[in-house]
Amino acid sequence: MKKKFLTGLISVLLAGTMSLGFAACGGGGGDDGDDSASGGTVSLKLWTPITGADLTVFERMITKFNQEYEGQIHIDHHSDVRDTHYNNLKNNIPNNGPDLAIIHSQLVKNYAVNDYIVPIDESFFTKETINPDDYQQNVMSTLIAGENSYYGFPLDIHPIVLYYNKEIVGDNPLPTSYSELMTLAQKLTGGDVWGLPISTLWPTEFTYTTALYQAGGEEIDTETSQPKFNSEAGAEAAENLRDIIYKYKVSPANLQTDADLQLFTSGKAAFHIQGCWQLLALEDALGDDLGVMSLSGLLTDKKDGNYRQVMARSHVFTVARQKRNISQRKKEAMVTFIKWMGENSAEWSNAGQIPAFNAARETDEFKNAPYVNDFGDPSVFRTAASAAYFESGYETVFQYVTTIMTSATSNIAEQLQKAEEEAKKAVNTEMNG
Amino acid sequence: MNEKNTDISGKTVLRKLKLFKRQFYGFLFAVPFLVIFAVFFIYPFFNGIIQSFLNKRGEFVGFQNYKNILFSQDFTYRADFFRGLKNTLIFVVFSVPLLIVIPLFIAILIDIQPKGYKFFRALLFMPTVFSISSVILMWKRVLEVETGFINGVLKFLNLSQINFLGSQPWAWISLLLVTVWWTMGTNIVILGAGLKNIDKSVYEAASIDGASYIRTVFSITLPLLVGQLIVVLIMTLLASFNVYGQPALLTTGGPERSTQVLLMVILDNLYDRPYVAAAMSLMLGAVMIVISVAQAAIMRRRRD
Repeated sequence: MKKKFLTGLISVLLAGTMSLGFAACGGGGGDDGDDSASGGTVSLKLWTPITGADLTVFERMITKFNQEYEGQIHIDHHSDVRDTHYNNLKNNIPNNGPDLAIIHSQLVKNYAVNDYIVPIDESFFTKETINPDDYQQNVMSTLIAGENSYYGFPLDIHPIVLYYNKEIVGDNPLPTSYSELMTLAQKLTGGDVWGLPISTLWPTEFTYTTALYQAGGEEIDTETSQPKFNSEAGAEAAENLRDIIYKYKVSPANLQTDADLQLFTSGKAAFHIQGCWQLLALEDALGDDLGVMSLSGLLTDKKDGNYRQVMARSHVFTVARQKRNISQRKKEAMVTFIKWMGENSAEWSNAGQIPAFNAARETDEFKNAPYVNDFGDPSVFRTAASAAYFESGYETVFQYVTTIMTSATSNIAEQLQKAEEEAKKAVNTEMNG
Repeated sequence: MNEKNTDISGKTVLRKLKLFKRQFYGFLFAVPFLVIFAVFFIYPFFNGIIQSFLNKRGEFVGFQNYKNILFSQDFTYRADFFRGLKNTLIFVVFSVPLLIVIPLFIAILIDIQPKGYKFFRALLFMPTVFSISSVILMWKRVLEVETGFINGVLKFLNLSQINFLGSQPWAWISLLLVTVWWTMGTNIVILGAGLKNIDKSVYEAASIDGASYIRTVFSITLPLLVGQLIVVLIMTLLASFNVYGQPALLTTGGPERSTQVLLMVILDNLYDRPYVAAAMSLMLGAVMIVISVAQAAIMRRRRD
């Protein structure tokens, strides 16, 4: 009995060891295991950071695609909150990662440099093709890395916008400059109502960058990723934001993340700066009282240069690097899916996002979508500078902007200097650390 | 003679075999635990140590990561590590005494069994079962400027509002308040159990001898509670060193990263530079071991 047990145990162990050995032998550089030979359905794993109300619209589009391509292509979609999504990508590519991943435009070059994603080059285009000219050019131009290869195709462009409460703003003419916005906000501040409550934490990333662009500044050097925000324009941008709180007194001081949003949704704010992605939630809260306008030219009094530019981000489809070669059939399926999403992205505007596919913005569905057309002219939307170490070179500034916005007397030049020094160190750490 | 020897050695072998058989079956029962222990504790632990000696490309670099963290001015690690460690120590220094003194005080009060003590015991333990995210959500509603409850009251009374989460020392005070409220329940239970074990006749004897209540607490209760106090101290100390959720969710490390604790710094490096995160974690572990051992030794010496 015991002998039998031991013999059985040894056999199982040997079989296990051998199967592991075989598995290891098969892990070379062959094609990935799709059903290309049998002509079955190509299944693509797609990971995205799309959550909240947007997810409902996105899932609806995926379901439509899967129905249309039933028996040919199936998209297996998985979404996570932003930080988890990016951590998962870094942790799982290339061994257990997805086939396709949506990443934000400012990260594309970094992910290309770090080999997380591969270029979508001619090898993808045997049957289906995508023409980069069909997409919003100010986004496409930031998705190039390596030897002039495109590393992604954008789904949308999502800018920051200025929401307002129609009931509070009433018949007052809408502002066209920073001074006009402050004057109107001051006029509407009183009682329980604030003119333009603004958080010192979020979305400072968007508000400061927009103010920086409009003042004529730049975030970083695209070649070296070294910071360029410590400039006259950078200081003017920070001062304009701080003045909203301490000079014009149209916002309470020290508002935490979303406290400004809360004031707006509870009818205690005339204006609110927020991303276009909050449209559905704000529509729910304010109903017909909700108004939307572009932030173009509203964070500066300048009337030249880039004063109309508004910061935007973009969700970009990228192809994750795989351990094995990606089969031709899978490549074609990816291109088919990305192209389909572009062509059908007018529906995505229901989530408050502007399609990056040019033709989608010409459709009746997009043109008739409420509010989205009020977000502004897509040609003034500016996505992040295309640099390998964008986050390290630029994003350290935001906490210093928070410090500036938290005190009426903090020295702006000193804070920006500190931010610059730290950003330089952060770039060096990311490159050589 | 020889026969006897052979007989004895034969019996010994048989006994050893029996012992081995018994131990073998015992070992078999322990296998599931050992496998889990090896996979989820031993392997990550040694893997972490190995990682801390590697670089980005997986090459062995000796103590370079440790040197960079402790001395290099070229990278962000040094500033981040020491800032994180300093903030963690601030939290430990203030939270540990509060998390021992307040639960001890409450446990002694509950031990007197005043009217409704069961209700208060349940009420004070309740926050412990909440998740950190719900705790923070509740406290944000209380502490926020303009929309928070306390500032709402201050505004109603025409008093100036307090930036609890965005200015110092209020950010630390808020973090300590939330931490004590959230975690004191466990310590109350442990200390309460210790108080129940103290023989009541000792109190009676002290009372007959004319000892006041305060004197009884300091001369009887506390000395007889040292065992539980050591357990509570070590547990609280380790938990406080591992603080993460409260500053990450309540103050997001601000203002100006003054509440960014070391675990937040480690997590920031985890995915991009796991070798640095591993080295930082091991250094934090070393600090925790040294302090815990020293604390326990001091407590034992005092007890003796």
